Amino acid sequence: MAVVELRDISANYGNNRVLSSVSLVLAQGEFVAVLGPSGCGKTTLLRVVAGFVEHTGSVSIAGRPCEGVPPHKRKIGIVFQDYALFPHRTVAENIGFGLRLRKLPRAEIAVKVDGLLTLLQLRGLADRYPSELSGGQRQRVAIARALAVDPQVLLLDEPLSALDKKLREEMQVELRQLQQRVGITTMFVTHDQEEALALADKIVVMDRGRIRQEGPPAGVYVRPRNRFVANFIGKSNIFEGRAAGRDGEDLICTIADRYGMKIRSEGDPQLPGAKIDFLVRPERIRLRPVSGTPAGEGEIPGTVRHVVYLGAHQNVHIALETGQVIEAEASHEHTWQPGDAVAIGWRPEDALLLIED
Amino acid sequence: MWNRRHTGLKIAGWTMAAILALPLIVLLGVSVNPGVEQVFPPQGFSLRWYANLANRHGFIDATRLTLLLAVGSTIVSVTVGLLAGIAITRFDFLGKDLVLTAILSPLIVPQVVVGMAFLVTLSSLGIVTSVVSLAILHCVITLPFAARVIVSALAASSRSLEEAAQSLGASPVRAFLSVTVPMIRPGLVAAAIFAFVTSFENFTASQFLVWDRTTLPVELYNFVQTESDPTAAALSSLILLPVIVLVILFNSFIGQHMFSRK
Amino acid sequence: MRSLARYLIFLGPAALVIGFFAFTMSVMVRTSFAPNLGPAIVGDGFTLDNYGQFLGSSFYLGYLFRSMWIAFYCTAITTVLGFMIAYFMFRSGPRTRLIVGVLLIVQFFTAYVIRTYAVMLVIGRTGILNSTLLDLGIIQQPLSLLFTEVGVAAGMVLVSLPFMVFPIFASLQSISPNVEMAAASLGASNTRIFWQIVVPLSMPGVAAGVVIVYLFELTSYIVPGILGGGYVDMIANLIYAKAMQSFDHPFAAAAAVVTLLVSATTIYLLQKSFRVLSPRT
Repeated sequence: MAVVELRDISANYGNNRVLSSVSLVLAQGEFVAVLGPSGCGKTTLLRVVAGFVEHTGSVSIAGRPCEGVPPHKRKIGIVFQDYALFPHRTVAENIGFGLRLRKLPRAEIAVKVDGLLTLLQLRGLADRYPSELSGGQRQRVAIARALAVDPQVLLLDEPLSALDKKLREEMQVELRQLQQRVGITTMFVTHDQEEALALADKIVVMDRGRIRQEGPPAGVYVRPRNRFVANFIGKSNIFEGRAAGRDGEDLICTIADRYGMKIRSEGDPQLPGAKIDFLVRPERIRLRPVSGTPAGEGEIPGTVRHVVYLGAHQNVHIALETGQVIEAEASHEHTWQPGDAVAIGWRPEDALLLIED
Repeated sequence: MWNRRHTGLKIAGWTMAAILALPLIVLLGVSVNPGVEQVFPPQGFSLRWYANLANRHGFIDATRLTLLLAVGSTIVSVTVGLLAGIAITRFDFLGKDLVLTAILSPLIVPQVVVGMAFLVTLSSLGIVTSVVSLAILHCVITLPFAARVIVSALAASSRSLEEAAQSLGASPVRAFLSVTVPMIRPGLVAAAIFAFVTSFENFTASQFLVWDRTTLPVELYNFVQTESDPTAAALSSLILLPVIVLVILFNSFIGQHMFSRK
Repeated sequence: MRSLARYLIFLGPAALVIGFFAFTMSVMVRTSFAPNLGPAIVGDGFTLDNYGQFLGSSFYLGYLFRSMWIAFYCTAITTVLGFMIAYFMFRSGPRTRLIVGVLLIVQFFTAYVIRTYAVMLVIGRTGILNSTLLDLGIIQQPLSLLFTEVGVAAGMVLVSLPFMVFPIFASLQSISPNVEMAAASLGASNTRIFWQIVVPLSMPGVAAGVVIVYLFELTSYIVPGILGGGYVDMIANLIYAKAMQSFDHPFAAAAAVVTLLVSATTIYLLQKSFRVLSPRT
């Protein structure tokens, strides 16, 4: 059942078109991450749902259209990047703010606030003021405050960007567990693709006001539909070549008119000679030190340019003979040095054809 | 971004703005009135009252004295304020807050009390009032204004830049002069402007110390009390117009920053 | 540079200036306790007569009380109007802010004497206020606003407004826009947001403005002088008259000391009560 439905949303800011005909559906209990670089319109989209931005197109929350419904009448909860806590109110007063507005009896408010303090691990901080809290604590108060009014959808605008790395990762886990426990439909805006991959049921990738791809994290990561998504999510090596026939399940592609490589692709009729873009993730590149046996079929020779030691593995930057520089992730089985001769290759099923749209 | 209806507020706001602007507009209008009455709108256009100013030696002398005092006390208060500010923000000693409070203390003393204090002091010391006593008064009055601006500018400029310069071989004095001074230049200019304006327009305290020479505000005040032709309006406009022009110019370049959203 | 020489060079000049200032203040206090031996002749003795004269006379005290009262209600009016202007600027776009801002800054840099004189031109018998009201038929006779408390009050408010607007505007600007949006998302209507979020968070600015304006209005000389014409004299006018016209320095000094004490106490009380009103901001 759809909790939030956005249809054909377009919005302008001055002379700029910030959103172009965006449509999106959030299902009950779904955690949707809206991901993209700054300026892509993701925050604007969130504000459209909240009702703070003028737009064309329709928004409906829990089946009810939001036409003409001001923000304070929509059943939403927002958590901002800078938390936006009321500095002149205590933690308990912040959390209870929405409840007091609804004129609930004092006793009831106290019980609810208490429950949220426990849920968000804020016990003992009820009478503190925001200026006396740490960043992580403020974040939790902001979440508690938003949840207190039982919103139908929770909107999070880059809530973890201000936290340092370790705290951020802890909060990611906490946030996800909390969301699943409470079961609330959530829209989470971020520019951090790792965060999106880690948290979301569904990722929506945006660029310049449009949705470029949406789907479960694994789907978006393994099968990016276009260059933008491929580049934005995870690291990628993008190759250009020309179609040169098929071999069973695989498409044969020549790179730099010299090297014939295979790409698994079912039923994509590519005319011989057609230009092809495809992607191979660094961790799928296979490396072979060249000492004796030169590069053979299905391999491209190159020279190691630079090695980055990353604890668990190493990133090897290779200058291919074709002129392209690629990145490969390798285990520590073999220690690579700049200047080493190497032959790279991949399994056909690890190469992905890119469609430009 | 946030769609709100503010019509009531807009009407109230612009009305208040108009009320604020009205007296100054009237002033300018009256100054060009050909007739002797101080009426608005002016019944014509005449610069006779401006010309009249040239005949009034009192005004000319008062202007000279006021400018002298303003320039002098600005130089003094900015210099003294800068020296003290350096001590407060760069040296280590006990009682910094106290020193700053002491320097700013004239701010909370009412003008009339300051004037009174200077009067009785000079009287009890048997000193006749003169330019010197007025000058000291103006220095006392302008110092806190200048010091406040300068201290906050110095406090905002990071010490580490000076230290970096020193590590590259500059002596502390050189480091200060070539690194910090350029950074606080806007603060120094602001301090000078505040000091100048404060001295130039000072009336209540100064009037205790005038003798047969007076300052411009005092001269203007006396004229307004005794006579009623537009000469005072002409003089006031002469002072007002440069202010308006300067403020508009200044704001055209900097204004957006001062009032724009974060 | 040796320590002592350093402090001498940097703090010495300021010490001189402030030292002289302190000296004048102490002479004034001393004079307030001295007997008056004739015009501008101050005796060497010690007496409480001057204070007795000032504090014991309802006539003289009246000046002080009248000043405190006028300053009180004028500050109240200035606060309301000043808040309105500051809020108007806060909710407006850059161009409006610039125009109103320029208007205020021009006032700020123009001498009090000139501004008060300009107000006089507006509210005088031949001023534009009267001529407009007469033309519109709202009144039959020109209003006598000059030489009355109403005129003085009007002048006070107009002259003080810029000092109230700036600190309040600064406070309003420091409110993060997200805080208002958060309140709205929790169900607060615009009115609620104004009273529960905007107003409380603007209190530091209001406090600063009230302190500056009250002090200014309490001890104002120019406004009652020009607009009151002697009929609405306030405490500063009294002090001046006693010092420069009656040449009774001791009495004037005593009145000045009392005024200073009242000012200091008022600042202290005002700041204290505002701190209670705005915890933690």
